[in-house]
Amino acid sequence: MVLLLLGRFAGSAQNVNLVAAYDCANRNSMDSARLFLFKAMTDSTTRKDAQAWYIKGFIYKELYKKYEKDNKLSPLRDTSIISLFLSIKLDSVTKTNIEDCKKTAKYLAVTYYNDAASGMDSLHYTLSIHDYARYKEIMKKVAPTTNFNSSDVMFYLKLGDVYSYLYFHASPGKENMYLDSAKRAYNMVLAIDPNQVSANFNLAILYYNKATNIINRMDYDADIMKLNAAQDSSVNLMKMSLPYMLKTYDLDNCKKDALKGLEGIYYLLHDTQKFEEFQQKLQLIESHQGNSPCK
Amino acid sequence: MRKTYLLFAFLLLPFANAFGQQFEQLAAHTKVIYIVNFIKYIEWPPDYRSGDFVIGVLNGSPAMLEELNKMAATKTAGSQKFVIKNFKSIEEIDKCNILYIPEGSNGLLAEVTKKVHGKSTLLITETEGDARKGAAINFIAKDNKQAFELNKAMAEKSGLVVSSGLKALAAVNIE
Repeated sequence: MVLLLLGRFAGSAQNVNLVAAYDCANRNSMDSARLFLFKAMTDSTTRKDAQAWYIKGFIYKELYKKYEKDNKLSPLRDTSIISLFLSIKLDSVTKTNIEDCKKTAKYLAVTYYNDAASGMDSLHYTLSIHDYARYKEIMKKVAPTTNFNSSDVMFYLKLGDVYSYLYFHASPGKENMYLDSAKRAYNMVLAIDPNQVSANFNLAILYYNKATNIINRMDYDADIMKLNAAQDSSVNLMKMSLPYMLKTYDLDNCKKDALKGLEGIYYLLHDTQKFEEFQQKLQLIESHQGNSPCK
Repeated sequence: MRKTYLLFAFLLLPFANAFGQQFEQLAAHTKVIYIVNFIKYIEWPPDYRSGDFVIGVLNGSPAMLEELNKMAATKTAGSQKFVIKNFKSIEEIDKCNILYIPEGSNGLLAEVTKKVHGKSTLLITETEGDARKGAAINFIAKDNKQAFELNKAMAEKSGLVVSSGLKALAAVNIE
């Protein structure tokens, strides 16, 4: 990459500091390259040179790899991306460096994606959201035909899991906020792929758990009016859980948890016939260990 | 320069114990709330208002017994302490304020009724038609919810005084 860069550079007249920055970059002396580059960029003509910005983008990418590859908020990486996009913008006529700029930007886009993937947990998910958005933003500019469907499914499924985890561990005041966020994330997945098993199942579980929590949290001496109101809410949520659980079962009729879910939902909805139907199906699967009767 | 994509690690399993909370337990929890309410609306004769307040269960399910015991550990019936007894057979049944006969005890109600005849025991069942066959209260399902039917006369036959409020709360009143 460095040699290719220098070969291209050799053809044009440049600021002496920019040439020195090139030389240093070619020798993999990125710290020195950065110093020369800083001096070069004080020149107003150089600041209008697409190649100069490409070189800056390249050097800062290398500096990012050297110093900040574990920093998910790396300023070096941001600077590299900004420089590469500026180069692309300035290079709109000759387009000399556009492909190289795009390649470098794609490389950095993938580092954002990887940071989003590795950092997605209940503590760092906001940063992960930022990194994933940055990945898409860059890719849309450098590879506009990129199809994000499969990465969106992975991302929102995982985000839904994180919000679900936060919902299960939240104080009562924050529960609904996380629940709504989890539902939104899983619905994003289903908007792309309505047959995504985990999103269907997890949505079913969110509603199911919310329904059971309402009853579980009732004190033993709660009055009957209050209990009836709780039962109304719980039944509504069970009915919201049902289509997602049925869909999960339809997509994977060997999924024992889906059968257990349906067994539970119908039991709690007092639908004895359906409860017994799914209880029998579950028993059938459990009695055929290793020789599954599922399709 | 191609950079490899990492995979999102789906290691977090927030739903692993989703059904750990058994649905039978949840249904039992609802019924115990009802039972505690019944006690508020029913008055037992003086000889049942001292000592322990006994809730007997005939061959109770683990879920029901657990819920009753959890309730008994934290609540009282006025000044009376709750005691939960699980009777394995009709012969074992002795003095209790409430006797709960779970679903699946079909055919036993007639015998139980004979056994508690003349005693101030509130019979609670959960089998269709039992409120017409000797039970004072029978759990039923209505609109996907747990509800109950009340046979006030049956309760009064056992010397219990049933408040009109309970009648208003019953899904069905057997006259």
